[in-house]
Amino acid sequence: MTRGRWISLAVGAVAATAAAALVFVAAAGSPKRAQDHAREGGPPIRNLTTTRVDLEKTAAAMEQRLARDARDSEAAVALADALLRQTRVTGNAGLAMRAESALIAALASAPNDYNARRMLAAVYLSQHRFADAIREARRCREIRSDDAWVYGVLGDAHIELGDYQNAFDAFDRMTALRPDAASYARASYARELQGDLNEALHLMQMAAEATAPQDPESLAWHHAQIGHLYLELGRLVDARREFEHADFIFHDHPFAKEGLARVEAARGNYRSALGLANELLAYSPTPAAAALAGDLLEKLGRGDEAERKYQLAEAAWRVDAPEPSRLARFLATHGRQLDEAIRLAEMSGRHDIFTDDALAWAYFGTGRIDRAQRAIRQALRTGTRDRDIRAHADAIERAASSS
Amino acid sequence: MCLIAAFVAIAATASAHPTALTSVTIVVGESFSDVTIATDAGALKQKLDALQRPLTDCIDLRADGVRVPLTFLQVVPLHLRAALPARTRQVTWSWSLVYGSYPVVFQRTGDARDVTEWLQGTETSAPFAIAGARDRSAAASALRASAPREAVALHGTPLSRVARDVALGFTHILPNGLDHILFVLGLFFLTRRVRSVLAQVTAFTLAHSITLGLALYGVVSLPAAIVEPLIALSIAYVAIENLATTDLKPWRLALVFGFGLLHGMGFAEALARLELPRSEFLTTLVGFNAGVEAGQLTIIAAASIVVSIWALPAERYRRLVVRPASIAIAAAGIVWTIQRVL
Repeated sequence: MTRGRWISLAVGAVAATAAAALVFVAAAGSPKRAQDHAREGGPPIRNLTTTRVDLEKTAAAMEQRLARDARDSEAAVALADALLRQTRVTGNAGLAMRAESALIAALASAPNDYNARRMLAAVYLSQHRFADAIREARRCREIRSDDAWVYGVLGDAHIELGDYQNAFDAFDRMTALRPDAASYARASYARELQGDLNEALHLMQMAAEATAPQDPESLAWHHAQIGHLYLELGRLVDARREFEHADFIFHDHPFAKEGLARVEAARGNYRSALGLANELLAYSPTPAAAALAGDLLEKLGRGDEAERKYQLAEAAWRVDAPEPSRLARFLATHGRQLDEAIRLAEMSGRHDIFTDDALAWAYFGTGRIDRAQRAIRQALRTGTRDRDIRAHADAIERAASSS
Repeated sequence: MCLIAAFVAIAATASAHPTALTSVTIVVGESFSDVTIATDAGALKQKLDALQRPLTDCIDLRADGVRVPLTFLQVVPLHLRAALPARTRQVTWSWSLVYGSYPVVFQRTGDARDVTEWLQGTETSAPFAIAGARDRSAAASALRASAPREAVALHGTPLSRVARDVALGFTHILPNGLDHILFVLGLFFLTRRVRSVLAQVTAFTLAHSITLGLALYGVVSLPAAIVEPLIALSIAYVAIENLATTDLKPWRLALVFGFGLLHGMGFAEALARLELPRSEFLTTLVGFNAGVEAGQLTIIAAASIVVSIWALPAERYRRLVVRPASIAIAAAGIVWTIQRVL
């Protein structure tokens, strides 16, 4: 064999090895080259992305598996994952009910199934059953104290309840165990609550970069969060770019659409913002979207129409998506039924800064400045730079000084 | 499994909200349909006042697609009835008074089984069959698409949609389509004659455009389990043939055309993810194809530049570039084929 042929063969062998390695790497992360076929010939789990269509396909495939065997915990977990994501992009909270029932059925036959139990904790979180979420997450932590996921759920639940010290401790532990998109995003939110918006932005960008491209739903969510942070920083061009990016990755993601409406409103383009808010209302009707449309109508001087949107938002927060703390904040910030806002905020059992702010603003609206001062101090305790809270704090402080 | 659920807790936090206090029960008989709505009367009145519409205007109960009028039987709880035309096969429900999700329970008279479906806002329920075998389970019914599909892809200006389609086609090749990249390189390495390369690429383009269009319109369809391994095999084939010959044989063009038909079906899978309304098929097809062609031409241009810079004599080019590269591409094709079959 000639020297040239040897060289040719050697180069070929190296190239073939490199190509094979490349293929394996690509296959490992490729959504359409699934490796994990389900047990007993069932539909595969990890062969689909998180596009709207694939989420439906995954959910339908897992339902098929569960119809054959309701104890199939792997299918129950994959179903719950798909349904929770669908909840996020459609607002259909009822899907979480199905996720819960599938997981409970799987856990009935295997109470110690770790993956099912920790997913159940996430489902409880999505239903605002924070005590249940914390209970399940703690049970998981007793089984595996090194699972970053569990600390994420614990931190999320504590943060919603306003128990920030425990929440930040959980996020610190989570990030130490597994620095990835999920932990970066949580660290970002912690920084945002602490008023460090630039660091929050940096961390959320890291989270977006660490998100797999075959997970467009999460990617869109991360970009929408980056847009939100730019908006808070007053960088409207950057915010708009990020929201558009999120909308491109996952068409009509509600967070992207709402963000674009807020950017337009911040630019003073209320008519355009209203158009976007109405689009959002058409495909994802929520009390928050109705309230946003009301705010924009108010800005446009269409008070009667704004009032009707507020009526819808108020009724919807009472019945369609009953959230006392959100309703309290809506009532307080819109100067409506302030005594009820106070009652709702006090009885909500939540002590997060937004509920404290609602309480403070409602006290302020009813002339109880001392109580408003105490409540707003609580709302500012994390160092937040939230514009509304800061504005309320200034107004309360001025009123206290003048009195 | 960890990877599957990596973001769910964040998802939960971001979207967390409890479910509605409203529920709707629809009992369907042969000639009537009774609707009972359990909700908060005060909130309902507040919404109706805000919308300035009567309740029955906000309800859309349809028998075989035709809206049927409802009359009140009782106000507390809300109980309405609609007469159904003879031989009605199915009914659907939607209303515009919920700003959240709520369960709709369908029942058939004389049948103990019911079907629960969670609807979001103004969403329309899946058709509920009045008689005969049911084709869905209660659980499966809860999994319907929750977003109105027509609204999904009609977003944006026409120009932005074209840009999106071109970008989607381009990124489907570069950088996301490693298999397509290797296939195009396989075509390129057969010969340095421009005419031969162009002939192959033209045959490939023509073929994949045909099947992409046909697949998009639903005329042809092959399961991914068949298409994907064949695409991988086509990559191995063109690379192996590069080792055996340096000329563009007539059968090669025919085979490349055939492979193009397969790759077109693979491209169609990417477009299927867009949930396009039919009215957008043609423009999307053109834009996506343009993006794919741009991606292919970019690969060929980049490879041509590298090869011309190197400027090796024919024999050395074949020995040092074509053979090693073809072996690597063939190996990748074979590995993919095995992976996709298993």
